[in-house]
Amino acid sequence: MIKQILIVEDNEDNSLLVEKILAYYGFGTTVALNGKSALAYCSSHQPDLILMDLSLPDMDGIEVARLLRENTRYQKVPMIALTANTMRGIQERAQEAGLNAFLTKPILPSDLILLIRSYL
Amino acid sequence: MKNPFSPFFAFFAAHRGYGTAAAIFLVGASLSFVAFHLYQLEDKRHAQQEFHKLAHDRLAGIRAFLLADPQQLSWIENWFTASENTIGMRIRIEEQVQGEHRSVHPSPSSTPNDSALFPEDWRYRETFKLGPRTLEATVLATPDFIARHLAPHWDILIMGLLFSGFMAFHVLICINRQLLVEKKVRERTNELAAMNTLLQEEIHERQRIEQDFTQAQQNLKRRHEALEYFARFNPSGLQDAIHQITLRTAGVMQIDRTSIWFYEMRKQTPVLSCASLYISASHSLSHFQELTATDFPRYFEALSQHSPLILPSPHNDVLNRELDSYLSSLHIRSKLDIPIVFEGHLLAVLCCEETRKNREWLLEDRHFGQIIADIIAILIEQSARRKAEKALKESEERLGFIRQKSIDGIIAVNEKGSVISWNFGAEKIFGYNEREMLGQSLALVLPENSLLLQDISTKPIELKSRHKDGHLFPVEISHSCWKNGDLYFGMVIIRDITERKENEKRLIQAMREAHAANEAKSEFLATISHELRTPLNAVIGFNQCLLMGMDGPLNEAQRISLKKIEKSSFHLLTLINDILDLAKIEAKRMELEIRPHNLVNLIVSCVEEMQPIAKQKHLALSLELDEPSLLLEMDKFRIRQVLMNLLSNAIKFTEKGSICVRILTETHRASVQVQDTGIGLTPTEIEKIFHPFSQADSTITRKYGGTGLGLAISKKIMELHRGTISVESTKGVGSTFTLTLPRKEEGA
Repeated sequence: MIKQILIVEDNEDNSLLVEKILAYYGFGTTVALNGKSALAYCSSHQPDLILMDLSLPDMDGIEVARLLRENTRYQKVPMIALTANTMRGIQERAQEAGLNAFLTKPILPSDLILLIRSYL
Repeated sequence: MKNPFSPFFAFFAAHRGYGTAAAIFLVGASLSFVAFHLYQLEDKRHAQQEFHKLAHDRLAGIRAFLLADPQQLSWIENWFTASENTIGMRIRIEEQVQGEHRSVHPSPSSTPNDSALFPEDWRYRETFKLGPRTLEATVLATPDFIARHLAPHWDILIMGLLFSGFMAFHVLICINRQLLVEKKVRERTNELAAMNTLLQEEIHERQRIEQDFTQAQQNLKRRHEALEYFARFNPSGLQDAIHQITLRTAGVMQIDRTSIWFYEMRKQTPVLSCASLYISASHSLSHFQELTATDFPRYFEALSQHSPLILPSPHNDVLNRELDSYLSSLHIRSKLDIPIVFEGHLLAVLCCEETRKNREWLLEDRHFGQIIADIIAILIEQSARRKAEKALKESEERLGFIRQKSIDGIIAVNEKGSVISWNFGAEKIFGYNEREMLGQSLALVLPENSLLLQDISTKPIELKSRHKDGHLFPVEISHSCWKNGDLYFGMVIIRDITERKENEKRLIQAMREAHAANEAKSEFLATISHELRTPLNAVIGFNQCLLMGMDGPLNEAQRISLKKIEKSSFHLLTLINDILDLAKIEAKRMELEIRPHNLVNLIVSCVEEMQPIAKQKHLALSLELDEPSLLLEMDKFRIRQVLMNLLSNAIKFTEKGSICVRILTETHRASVQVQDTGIGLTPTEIEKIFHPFSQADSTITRKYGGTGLGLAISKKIMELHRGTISVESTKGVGSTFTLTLPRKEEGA
């Protein structure tokens, strides 16, 4: 069965890139362009893994992750942060909110796939 | 040194009479014996000659007789035997027949066996022929004969001994008499010497008394002169007066160390500070020593009795022990201390110290010391009064000046709050002049002044006040008041702070703006980082996708172009990272997370990570450790950044050879060395490499890549750690980069 991955990413180019890579490696993808649509999608569907950009137009990606973790259905779903933010401390904050891993942009396709495969 | 044999010599000297007598007697006796013996020998020789003559005559007679009638032999024999006793000689005649001796006379049968009676040296032999017969005649002297011819000379021996005895006795008597005389002379000489000494002592005693008398007269004169001098003297100040008194007192009282010490209270502890010290031996005048009551409690207690103190004290051993270190360190043998007291207060102490002898402090010494002490007391008191008067005058003048010239308002009020003094500053601030305000209530200008009277804090307070023209403005007020019985005096110092208040407001505003700007800068850095990375993500990501062949196979030209894009985009990424780091440091936004980390582990992981890259270039990358672990306070992430930068530089700039990483531990710091055998640096290049964008040579950037920012960032990071980074290098041989980090001491 094809694994479904939710990509939360506001930048179209970047979401396109991630979709392309994941599709190439045989994953099913859905893109949410902001926090609200991500939460809405999650309430009706059950993705196997979530790739979360941390700076979204409407809310903080970390906040989205925390809200998802409060839901019993999402307590075990792997979540990977993808961000261009390199400020110190953000990685720790992400970890506290329940994100499993952290990738700094720019990402390499090989790194991303390696990380996803370690969870799925 | 005493001769150990001297008692023997003395004994022999005292009894030498007996010795000499004995010696003389012995010598005399010996001589007597020798003479006696010589006589004896001479006698014997004479007697033997006599004997030989007699024997020869006798034998001649016998021979003649026998020659006439040889048959008469037996007859002769009888005749001789009969006459043996009368003559004292025995004659033996032996005949040699066929080699054998045969006694002819006496006949063998009648021969008495008494040959032992005849001494061997009293014999006479003769041989004569009687026809064919050979006869041997021997004449032996009988003891009777010997006794008759050889009588011992006892008289010589006895006379000799008697004479010796007499001589010895005479000598003994003479010597003993001489000894007696000698002894008498000695006794007499001793008596005379004793008498002489006694006389000399008497003379000395008289001279001493005369000297003492003269001395006493001189002392008195000197003391008188000194007192006259003090009565007239005109010192330039108290210190000068004290020095002069010390000098004079030392001379007059003939003291080795004379000093005057001021008694003061310092932080509730009594202290004696030396105002003047004169040492007569070296003619040196000095001061500045101190004694405190904490070190010498009993001494201070003794001084508080206000009476002269003689040290070492004859009846206070505890005090002596306490002062022992002081006295012995200065070699003081006796000491007289006179407290200088004025109206029951101890002001100072006059110390007279003797180092050469144990001086007996006389009553006159003490009296004179007391007079000097009184003079000093008066001088100190005068000086203090003069100083106080001067200070008071100055203070009054100063106060008047301040009051009038001050731009602060200085106002005095009485207990009702009415103004009793109003200065020029107050006039400037409130617009009322002194005439208008005297006697008016302070409430006219300070409506809130009741608050002022309650609050007696020492801090200035801020109040609203009213100007003559009616407008209100802020003032700062310091106030104080004295209450002495019914007497009340309040003093208010007022400053117009309108301008200061405005300045404060402006300052707060400026600070807020600066803070906001700083926040904005920080925000800007974060944003720019994000904004630059986001497009770069798409560039690198899609490029990678193409390179991986996601969109179909590539021809060689396409692959080369994509590789160029890849290389450039990674370079751009590094540049962005470095520039942001540098910007953070320049904006002082780089915050270190200082925690204890194991530097060794960190270095090991860096070296392991770089090992594959070194292997690609066939370089040996080695690690030398002197300790298995080294905990240091540092930001692990940043130090790692520096180490990785140094390692990648070393690999990048080394074509062949090795790279060695070393950790050196010292007490206060730890050093890390990265040594390579690369291209090296010239001194001019070394000067530039730690500055941003100044890779030693711009051609290098093209050849080796890199941003030229790594070392500048590393230097900043090391400085933030209070560490250093430095390099030693020889062009073409290699470079050694050294990092040092401060190290806290164990357990600190």
